[in-house]
Amino acid sequence: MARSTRRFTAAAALSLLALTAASCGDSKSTTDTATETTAAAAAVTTVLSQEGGTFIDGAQLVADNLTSYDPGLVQTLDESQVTTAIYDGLTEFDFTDKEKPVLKGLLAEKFEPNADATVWTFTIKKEMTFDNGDPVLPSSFKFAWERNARASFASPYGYLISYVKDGASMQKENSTVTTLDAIKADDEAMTLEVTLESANADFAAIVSHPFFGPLPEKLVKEHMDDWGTTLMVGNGPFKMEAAANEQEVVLVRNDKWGGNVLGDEKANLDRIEFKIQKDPEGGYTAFEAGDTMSASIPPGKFGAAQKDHNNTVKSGTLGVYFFVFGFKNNPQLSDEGGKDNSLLRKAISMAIDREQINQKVYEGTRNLPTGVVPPGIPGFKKDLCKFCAFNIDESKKLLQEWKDAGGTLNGPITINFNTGGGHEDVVSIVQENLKAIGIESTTDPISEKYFGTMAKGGCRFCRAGWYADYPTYGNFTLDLFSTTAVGGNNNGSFSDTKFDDLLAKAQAEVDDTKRGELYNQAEEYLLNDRMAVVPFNWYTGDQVYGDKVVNYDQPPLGIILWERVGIKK
Amino acid sequence: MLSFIVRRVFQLLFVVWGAVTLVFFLYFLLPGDAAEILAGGDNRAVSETVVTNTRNKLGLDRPVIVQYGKYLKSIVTFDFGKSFKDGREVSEIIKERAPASLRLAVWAIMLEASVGISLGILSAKRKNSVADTVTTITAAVASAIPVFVLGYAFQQVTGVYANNHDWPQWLRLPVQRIGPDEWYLWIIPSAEQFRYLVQPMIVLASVSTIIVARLTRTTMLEVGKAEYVRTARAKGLKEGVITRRHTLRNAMIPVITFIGIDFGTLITAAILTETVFNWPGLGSKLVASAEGRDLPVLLALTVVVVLVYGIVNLAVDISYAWFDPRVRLAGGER
Amino acid sequence: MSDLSNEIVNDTAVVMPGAEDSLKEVVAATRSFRQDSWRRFRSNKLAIVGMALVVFLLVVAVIGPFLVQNPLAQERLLYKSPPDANHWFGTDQIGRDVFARVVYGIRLSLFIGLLVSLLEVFVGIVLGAMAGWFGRYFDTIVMRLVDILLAIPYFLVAVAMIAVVGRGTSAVVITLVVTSWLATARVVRAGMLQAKQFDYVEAARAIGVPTRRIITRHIMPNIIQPVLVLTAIGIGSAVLAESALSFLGVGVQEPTPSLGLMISRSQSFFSESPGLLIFPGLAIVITVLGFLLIGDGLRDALDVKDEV
Repeated sequence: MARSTRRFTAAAALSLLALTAASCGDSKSTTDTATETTAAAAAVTTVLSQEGGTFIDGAQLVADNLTSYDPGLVQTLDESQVTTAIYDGLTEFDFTDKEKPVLKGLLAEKFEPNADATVWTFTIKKEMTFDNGDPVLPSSFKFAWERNARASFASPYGYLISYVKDGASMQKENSTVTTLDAIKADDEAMTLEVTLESANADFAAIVSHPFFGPLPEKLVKEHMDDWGTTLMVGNGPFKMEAAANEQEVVLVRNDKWGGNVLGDEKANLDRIEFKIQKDPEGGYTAFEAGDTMSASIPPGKFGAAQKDHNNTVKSGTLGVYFFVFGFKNNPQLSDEGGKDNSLLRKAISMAIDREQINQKVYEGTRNLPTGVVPPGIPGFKKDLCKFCAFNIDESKKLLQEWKDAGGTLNGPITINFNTGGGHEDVVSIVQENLKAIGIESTTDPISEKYFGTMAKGGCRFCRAGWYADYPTYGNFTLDLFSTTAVGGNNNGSFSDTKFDDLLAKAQAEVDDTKRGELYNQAEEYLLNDRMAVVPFNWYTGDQVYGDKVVNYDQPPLGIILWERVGIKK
Repeated sequence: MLSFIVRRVFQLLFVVWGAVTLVFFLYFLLPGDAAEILAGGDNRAVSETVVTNTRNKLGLDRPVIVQYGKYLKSIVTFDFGKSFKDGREVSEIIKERAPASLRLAVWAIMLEASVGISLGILSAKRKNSVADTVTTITAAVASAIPVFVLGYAFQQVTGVYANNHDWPQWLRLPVQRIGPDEWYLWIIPSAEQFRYLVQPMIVLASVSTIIVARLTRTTMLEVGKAEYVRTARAKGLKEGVITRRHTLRNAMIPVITFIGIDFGTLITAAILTETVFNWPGLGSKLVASAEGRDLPVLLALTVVVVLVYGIVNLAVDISYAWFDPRVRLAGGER
Repeated sequence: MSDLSNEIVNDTAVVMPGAEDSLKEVVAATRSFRQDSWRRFRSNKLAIVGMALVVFLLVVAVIGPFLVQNPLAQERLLYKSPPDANHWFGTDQIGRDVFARVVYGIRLSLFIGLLVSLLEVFVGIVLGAMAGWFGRYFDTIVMRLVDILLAIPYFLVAVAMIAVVGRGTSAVVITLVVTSWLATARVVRAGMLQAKQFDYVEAARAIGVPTRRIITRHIMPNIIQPVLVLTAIGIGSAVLAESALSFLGVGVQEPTPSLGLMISRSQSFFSESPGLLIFPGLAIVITVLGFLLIGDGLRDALDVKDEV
């Protein structure tokens, strides 16, 4: 509940019916094969006089969100913090330059697609081992993928296997398929060759998700589904000290680690104790009382947190907070039945006092949006949206224009949102904003199955939040507003062929600049023509950390680099 | 006596069955699709395949009656299965959490009993005096403050404020969690452990201390007027002796009864205290398992809670019957 | 909720002779007993304080909403502000007047408390009396039901109620009624069992006085006293329980002003605006305290075994 604004959905989170057919390769960065050690990376870190120490974390794990740390089962960002500290995958993003992230090989020395991006070949680094000495081999990956993809295992990310040829057959209900020939592991040549269901230039980025990480085959076979409840053996910068329990997860440095894409070869900390919090408020109190070294900032405490403690608030993260208009079963606000209510929607968007919301609910820490896609995504264009700023006069004018053209509201409009997470206050302000231009509204707070209900046609003017799975324009457009995403993350069920076509053209464009422009055109159409979505703000960091802690930062994708965190003595 | 006990044991089993059945059907009454929520539906739209696979994996696709039978069997054999949420053995979870709840409850009861009874005796002795009024008001106010507010206030003072103003270490109390979990003879905390125990203990006890105090006061006064006490006074016995030998013992019966019942209530009513102090007990797990749709854990917790409550009640009743012959002879329901 | 049934029933000891003429004496004695109690109540200082508090709160609840600002209106720039001439209790995190919200909150708390008490007392009296009077199977069923419901934490019941009737005040009221009639029923039943055995009741039955009349004119007065005490204290408990439910997230929803909800939301802002916690907190304490003192006073006043 507390973290419902953070969504860790992996690549192009879609239902089985929505396989993105990205034809040719994406940007050149995804086919980058060099594993450079950037000098810039070294400059960012603080040099510590001594290494080691135990870090007591109170920020990452909130009890209600937690399910399992098993890489095949992780569901939320909370658990991923732990899982990614113990497991390294084929590839990883380098965020040294936050505006220009670069995909690099981690366990994979090289990763190359074939000519039409239907087959990817990963060359695995030699002599990498798990923390118990077992070697990491291409078969470790094949075994892991097939184990995670079984229907009986019911992984929340099981649908990811659909990218692989015939992968969907493993996910079908009561499927007995247990291996995929499309995954060829050659332990002699140390290659992993994957044939895809359809061309996808983003696949190398997608495999950075824990679902596609390696697992020690022999050990896991002894536990299979229960692996996550045991003392898991991994290959990351840290390893588990004991199996996870009700109160905490404890990790210790893994001396057999193979290093990361930034050139680090050894983790700073000796030990990390992730303490499970009941909620952010309690976690913050514990932090202030000196019990922990980090905490999530609860809603309402940002002002005090910034004044009193070290924090990550200035770091922009790849997330956007927005409301979507429902385009299904929503005669008041949608264009169903041949109507055109875009003027009404534009009026509503300009009536929202985003600054007031930012000040009151987020203490001014969020960034006001000029579009949906946040800065840091390749291709980002500033001031893209013409109707996303607060302007009462302009709003009233648009509303009048709409009325003159025959538009009438035959009752209050409904605002849907999920309870918890501070949205109540945002909605209260929105209600007052709408009242100021003469629109009455009622609220529809939903506590269970919110996103599912919205996706199936329950959305009228509904709240949403999106956090990037990986930094591409497509993740914020295709996965949220395309026709293929209807029934998935397209909460408003928005479907427009012109928009889809623009996106398809962009996805097929190999040249970075041209592709960026095409994506811009799509977003402009989405906002300035159809006004299908009202962005409210762009996310920023939300954690505090103790005075003695160094190198603690929330990168744009949210996964903290635990190997770099250190404690001054 | 024996038939009394046997009858009560059967009643307890019936109550356990009833509670489990009620909770089981309440679970399926809860809003939303359990499988979808367990697959992450609270935070994002989940694909149909994943929901279906999750449902099959957890056995939620079988007809409700079949599931009911399966869970009844698991309860009878004490094999509660695995948590829907993280796959851990439910018995492991209970083993981790139950002691925490019990220890907190025992200490809270001890505090509540000692403070409450003392206050009650004091109030009875000096009825309507200033001391009586002051203690009444203090205890009443303490119980009128919502538990989570009291807990929060404690945390702010001994934790945050203390940290910001550099109080001496021994005054600075940790604001949450159970700490080192060090206990001697299972129930006596180490010094460090006590620092974690003291705040939740006080907060939990605050709710019922006033009731114990008022109850003691009332029964003390009442017994004090009884014939045999008047006789004792007439005989010339000193007041202190009268108190100790006659009034106190008899006055304690209803008080002990109440405290015994309160013990059972405390274990579940500690939900709020456990939440505020992040004390890893059964109460907070109950909330989590209801919200998280974790059926095996929910049912197991229900069984544990009902059993404890029932056994404590039974023990109190047996001791009550033991102490007060009138009850024994009267027989039948209490 | 605590179970005071034993203690309260033991308190009630009205000695009755057992023939018909004495019946009239008894009735007469009961009437003056009432006047006696009232006199005793009035002389109990704490009880008077309690009454004063409750009367004050009732006035606030009834008249207050007409006199204060709109509890939903938001100041655009003035939020989390300390008390001033315009906003006596300051403003909350999105700029609403705290004083107005506290007043509305008191009204809601009293409404919920009184409504819940009324309903649960009614259910408790009916079921408890029937259980006590008819005994046997009916009694067993009711008492087992009480046991089962007592063992289930009210949080669970609350969540289920939400499923049935949706979030909001009705769910809260239903939940609290369902979980609090138990104590009343137990007390009534115990009183009924005790009274059933009194000679004068047996005599009345023997004579042929209709059951209904026996219950209403002879047994009820016996039972009213503990029920009254329980009810008074119960209103306070209901107010606390509502705030607990709000704290756990299953109570009344925003933007409805509810003291419990205000408190649970205010904890994030405590260091900057302690008033957000203190004012509604004080309101709850005063409310619960008032009813507690009244209940306490009632128990003292109705206790017959006083010094001669």
